This record gives sequence, C-alpha cells and structure tokens, in this order.
Amino acid sequence: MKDLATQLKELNKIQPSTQWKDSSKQAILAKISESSPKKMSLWAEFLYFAKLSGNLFQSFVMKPVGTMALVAVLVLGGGVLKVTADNSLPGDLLYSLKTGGEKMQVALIFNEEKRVQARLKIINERINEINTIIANKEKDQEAKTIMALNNFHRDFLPVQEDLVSVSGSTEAIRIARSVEDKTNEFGFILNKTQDKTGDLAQSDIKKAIDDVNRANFRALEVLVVGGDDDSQIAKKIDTKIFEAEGSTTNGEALAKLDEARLELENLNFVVALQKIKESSQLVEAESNSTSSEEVIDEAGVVKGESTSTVWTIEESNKFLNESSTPEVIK
Amino acid sequence: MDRIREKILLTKIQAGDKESFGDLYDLYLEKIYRFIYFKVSSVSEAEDLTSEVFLRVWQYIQDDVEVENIRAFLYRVSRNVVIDFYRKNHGKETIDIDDHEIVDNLRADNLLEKIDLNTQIKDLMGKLDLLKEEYREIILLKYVEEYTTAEIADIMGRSKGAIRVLSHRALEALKKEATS
Repeated sequence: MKDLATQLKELNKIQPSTQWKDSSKQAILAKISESSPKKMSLWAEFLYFAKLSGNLFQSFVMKPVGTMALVAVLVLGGGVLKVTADNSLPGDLLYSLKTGGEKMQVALIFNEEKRVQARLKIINERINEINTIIANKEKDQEAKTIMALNNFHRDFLPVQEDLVSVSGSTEAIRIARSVEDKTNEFGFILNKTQDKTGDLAQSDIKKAIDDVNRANFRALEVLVVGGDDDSQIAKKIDTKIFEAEGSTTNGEALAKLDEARLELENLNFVVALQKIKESSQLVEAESNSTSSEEVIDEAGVVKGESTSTVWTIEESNKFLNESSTPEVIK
Repeated sequence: MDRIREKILLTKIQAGDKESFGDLYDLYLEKIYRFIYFKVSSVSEAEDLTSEVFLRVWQYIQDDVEVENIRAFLYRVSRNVVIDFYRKNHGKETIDIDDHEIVDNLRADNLLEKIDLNTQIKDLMGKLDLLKEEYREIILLKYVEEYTTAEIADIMGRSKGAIRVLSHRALEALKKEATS
C-alpha cells in the first residue's frame, strides 16, 4: 500500500485528453483573435510600464517622499521634465512621456526622407536603451530588456513600410541609402548585444536582428531597382556574399553564393541578390529543422520558432516588379 | 526565475500578444483542468469550464483588470467559474465521477495500470470529497501540484502561516478519512 503522499501525487496523472487540449487551444486562440487588437492609450501604456518596473508608480504615488519628488519635478518645469524623460528607460515613470514625444515629433514631419531619418534616430535610441539596461544590471533586467526589444520591433516596422512606400519616388535612393547605412550599424551593435543578453531575451533579440537584416536587404533592393551607383552596389552585394559565406557550411547554400558572385561579376545585380536570398533560405531551412528539435523550456516561453531574415522568392519578385520603374534615378 | 518568466508572459499578454497567451495556456492548462476536475468531478464539465477560464482571463486582461500574479489570477478565475457553474446548476442532479472518462484520460502505460490507477484515484477522490472545500483545494495545490507554501499563499490569498496550518489540518483530516 503506497503512502498517502505518493497516492496524492499520482492524482497529477489526471489530465485532459491530448485531442481536447489541441482543439481547445485552437478554439480559444481563434476566439481571442476575433476580438479587436488592444490599443493602449498613452495613460494605459504609462501604467503598464510602471507596473512592470515593480510597481514604481505605486511607490511614487503612495509614498510621501516619492510624491514630494514628483511634485518637485513638476514644479521645476517642463524643461527639467523633458530632460528626465529623455534619459528614461522602459519601466521608468517618465518613459511614456519620452515615447509619446517621439511619436508626436514623427507625426509632425511631412517630408518622407526626414521622417525616415527621425524614425532611424528613434530606433537608435531604442538600441541605446537596450544596452543601458544590460549595462546597469537593474532589477528585472531581463523583463526590461524584452520590453525594450519589443519597443525596438514596434518602432522598426514603420521603417520597413516606408521602404516599400517610397520605392519609385525621387527620394527612394536617398532614403534607402540612409536605411542601408544605419541598418548595417544597428546589425553590428545588436550582434554584440546578443552575447550579453540573457536566455529569456534571446528570441526577442534574434527577432530584432531579423528586422534589421530584412530592412537592410530591402534597402539594397531599392538601391538596385532605383539604379544607384553601380560600383557602390557591387561593393555592397560583394560584402553580403562574403558575410553569407562566412556564416554557413551548407554546401548547397555556398553553391548559390558562388552563382551570386558570378552574376555580380556580370553586373546582374537583381539576379545576384536573388541568389543570395535563395542561399539564405537554404540556410534557414536547415536551421529550422535543427531548431524544431529545441526543447521548450519549462515556462514554455522560449521556443525554437523559425525566423525569416529574408523575403520569400514570391515576396521578393512581387516587390521587384512593383518597384521597377522605367525612370532610372541617379 | 519562474516569477520573472511569468511576469514577462503577463506583460506580453497585457500588450495583446496572443502567442504569449498560447504559451500561458500550455503552461497552465493541465493544472487548471485538474483544479476544476477536483471540484466538478466530470470530464466534460471540467473541459468546458477550463476553456471558459482561459477565455475569461484573456478578456479580463484586455479589459485592463489589474493582475499582479497571473498564476494566482488563473486560479481565482477558476474558482469563480466553478461557483457560477454550481449557481446555474443549483437543484440539478449531483455530478458523479464517471469511471469510463477517468480511465480514458489517465496517463498510464498499459490497461492494467490504468485500471489500477483508476480504482486508486476513484477511492482517493471519494475520500477527498468528504473533506471541506478549502482542505481539498490545499491538498491539490500542495501534494498534487507540489506548489511551495508561498505559492499556495499567493493562490489562496492567505498568509504563509495560515497555509502551513491549513495544509497540516487538511492532511490530518484526509488520513482520518482514509483509516475510517
């Protein structure tokens, strides 16, 4: 006869059927997808970040010293408040003021090129925040890093959209040059940051690097389609091939890169880019088959999800066809 | 570490991230199902009510209901869902443990083991049924789910001291039933 504690432990063998588990999950996710996406107000966002940082908001409002400090900051005037907000990090009391100000700033810019520049500056700030959080080793560091990376992703999306919307316009080349240049810089910094980031934030930083790589490739395609300086384009594509060669040992992928180099030598830039993409897809497919074996951690948060760093062939062709313009912009 | 993970999950869900809600579902489905099954003793009712719990939790979070501890919140919602269920079904026939359903849903390697486990579980569930509601709950959380005293205190909204006393009394009461 087993002892009572052992018998009780065996009650955890009571489980729902696997079939029901899966179907119920699908039904629940489908149902919640029907509900409209949540739009957070500035105030809600403010409370949300405050809560994440360990109820900072409550601490400030509830504790007399905190209240006094808050009043003092308000009395000292907008200038001081702005400086404080500018230096704030996700989870800080004034962070929503900072991001709200940024949104306002971008909304007031009507020149597309300048708007993209402003967005790139904001993204640069997000990267600074990520690195500051990591360097400061603050409380809830990983949670804050993930928040900062999510903010990065959120702020990066409009840049990718801008790249599509400007293609064919007179500013396209200049915008693509800025994006290409900055994304090279962002990619370099984020790759270095990845080594210092904890396990929980790894999937988010990978997503951020994917965002950057994707935008970088799109920018290069805009430059190719727009007819930027041949020698500059050739150099950039050559660098892409070189980097891709260094990051894989997959024979098929390397063969594609050889083909890309051949096309590059013949100045067939579009085809060369296509070959690089095909090579990346082969590497990605290989990596997906490996990552699918990755064990889901006990919290189920980190998982071997596939991430796409480049467009699919269909996406790419669609983009190149839509972007093609008979007028070559020099 | 778990607390940080749950905090991250909660913050993502609060931002409307459905994928994270799927992760939460995977993480707690079985525990919540068992919690409810212990209270309603019917597989089909436990399934329906468990789904309802997750839908309600999503809706509450999207409606900006303040949630500090997602695990405690899930159990609180589960408790309320079961209370609502009994209110609605007040006066209807009592739900008994369904032998066939338990056997089908048990994790066991072979049929004999399943039958043996089924008998054992049926017997134990019968004895647990004789205990007070809060004793049943604490036995499930402590001995079946193996939560720590602090975790149970969060879930039940009681002090750690109260949980220690309660779990001791619950186990004594169960032993008494087992030997009677």
